[in-house]
Amino acid sequence: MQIFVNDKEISIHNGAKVLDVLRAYYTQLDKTLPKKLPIITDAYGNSIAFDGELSKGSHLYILNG
Amino acid sequence: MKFSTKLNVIYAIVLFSTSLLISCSTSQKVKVGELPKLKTLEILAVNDIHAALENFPRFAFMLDSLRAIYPNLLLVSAGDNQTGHPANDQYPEKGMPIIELMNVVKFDLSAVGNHEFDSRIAGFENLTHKAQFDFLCANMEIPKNVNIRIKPYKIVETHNGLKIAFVSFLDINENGIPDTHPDNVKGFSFNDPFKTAQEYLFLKDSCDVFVMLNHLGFEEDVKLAMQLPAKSVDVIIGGHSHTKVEKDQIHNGIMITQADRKLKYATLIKFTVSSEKKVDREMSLLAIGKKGNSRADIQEMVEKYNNNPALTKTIAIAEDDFSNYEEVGFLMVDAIRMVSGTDIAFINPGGVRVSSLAKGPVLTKNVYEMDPFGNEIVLFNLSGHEMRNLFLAAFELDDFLPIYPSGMTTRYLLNSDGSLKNVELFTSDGKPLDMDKTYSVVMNDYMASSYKYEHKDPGQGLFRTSAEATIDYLKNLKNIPSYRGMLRVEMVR
Repeated sequence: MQIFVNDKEISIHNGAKVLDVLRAYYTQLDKTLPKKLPIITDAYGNSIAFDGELSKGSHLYILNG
Repeated sequence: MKFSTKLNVIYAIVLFSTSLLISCSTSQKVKVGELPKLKTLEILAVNDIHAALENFPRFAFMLDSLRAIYPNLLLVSAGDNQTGHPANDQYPEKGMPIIELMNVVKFDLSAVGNHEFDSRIAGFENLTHKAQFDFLCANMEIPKNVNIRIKPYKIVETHNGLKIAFVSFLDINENGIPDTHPDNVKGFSFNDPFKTAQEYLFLKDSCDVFVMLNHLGFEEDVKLAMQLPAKSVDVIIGGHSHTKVEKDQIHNGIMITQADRKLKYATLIKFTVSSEKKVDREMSLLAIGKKGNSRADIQEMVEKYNNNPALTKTIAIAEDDFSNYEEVGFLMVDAIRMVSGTDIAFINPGGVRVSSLAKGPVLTKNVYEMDPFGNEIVLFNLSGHEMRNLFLAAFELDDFLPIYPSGMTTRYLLNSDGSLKNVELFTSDGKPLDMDKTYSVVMNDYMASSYKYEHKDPGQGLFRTSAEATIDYLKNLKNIPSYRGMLRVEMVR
């Protein structure tokens, strides 16, 4: 499924959670996931947990990554 | 008066004073003798409890404190009560501890979340009958041979004569089912929640307050609110995305709430209904916190569940010692391949957390020690070339350690400096693997999302943890053969 992280489209397995998408996002940027995980919000400014479940087309934003 | 009761009262007074301050500051001016006839209603909502046993005693204490102020408080869950704690997930009657706890604190309703199906159809069927509250889901068709106790909606009448209609919708994925293993919902069919929601708008005319208790995820709840007539629903109480809604989220005149997950927070929603049926609502997110007062009887129940004999039960007998990470890793990777029924399986070296397993009884808790991360299994269809791409991409990221395979073997060709030159792939009996053929492959979700390599299939989560798969495999296997000296990975410099 396609998920958007900081408006960048990420292709990830169906059923992926927020942490999976973050890993894939940093991998796409040739970076590793920071040890201190960043704060993640949705498109409405609400914070989301790393084990949050996602639907196709969800938008995530990294606040301090 | 018991000490805990005193604390309850003090907590209640603080909450009551706060609510008085808020209501005083927002009350409208009315003329003497023209006091409007207002009725009030309070709902406490949680979501995605995920068997958070440890937080339940504090949640119960807070709940009692709130009930001291609001004796007719309605208590609801927006689904996914299940899955996330071994004591609950491995309980002989899988998932029963969280249902018993929800019964004791008197939940009124729960949405059906995708993880409610983790106890399989017969298990969930049983839990719905043991629950002393109703499960709701309106976009699900139940097979005739399944006697599961789920209603599409429920109208609750309060002590002061208010009628509250609750209806619930569950998220379905691209495969047309909720996020669970297809076997867990065999025979069920699921309808589009957005279309189905339109069919239940008639409830608005049958009630004073109309609530959707959804398990769709926050962004999907916003989409739903935007598709519904403006202000047609008073509140959507949501779950699934583990979103922490701290401030009013009003979309198309519909309030949407969600309270993170695992009983870290709860949302208190207060309604005021005028005689003209005008509904005012306000929400506040209450922290349950990691420390604080807890209800002693609930604490005792949780301790009993944590001493669940199932966790210390022998599930298989190891016929030999396992004396290094490779041997333990090969056992784990065999387990996820056999349980998933695929051609091949992989586990990353970091996914194996113990380097030994003694000959003799193997306990459930031993598996959680080997595989403590709660990683879920993901299915891919990969060609031989794509698998080689994966091995090449993973080596450096995995600190120059090889991946543990099942259903095939590998030979890593290293340069003199230890870097990887190539990986050769073989069948289990040592013949070169057909690199153009496509194989069904499972791996954990860490591997599925961490390696940058060329492959066409984005993968499909199987919604099952590798630890649970290993436990099921070992239970069926009963006697674990020796893995001593097993060679599946050759490193050639």
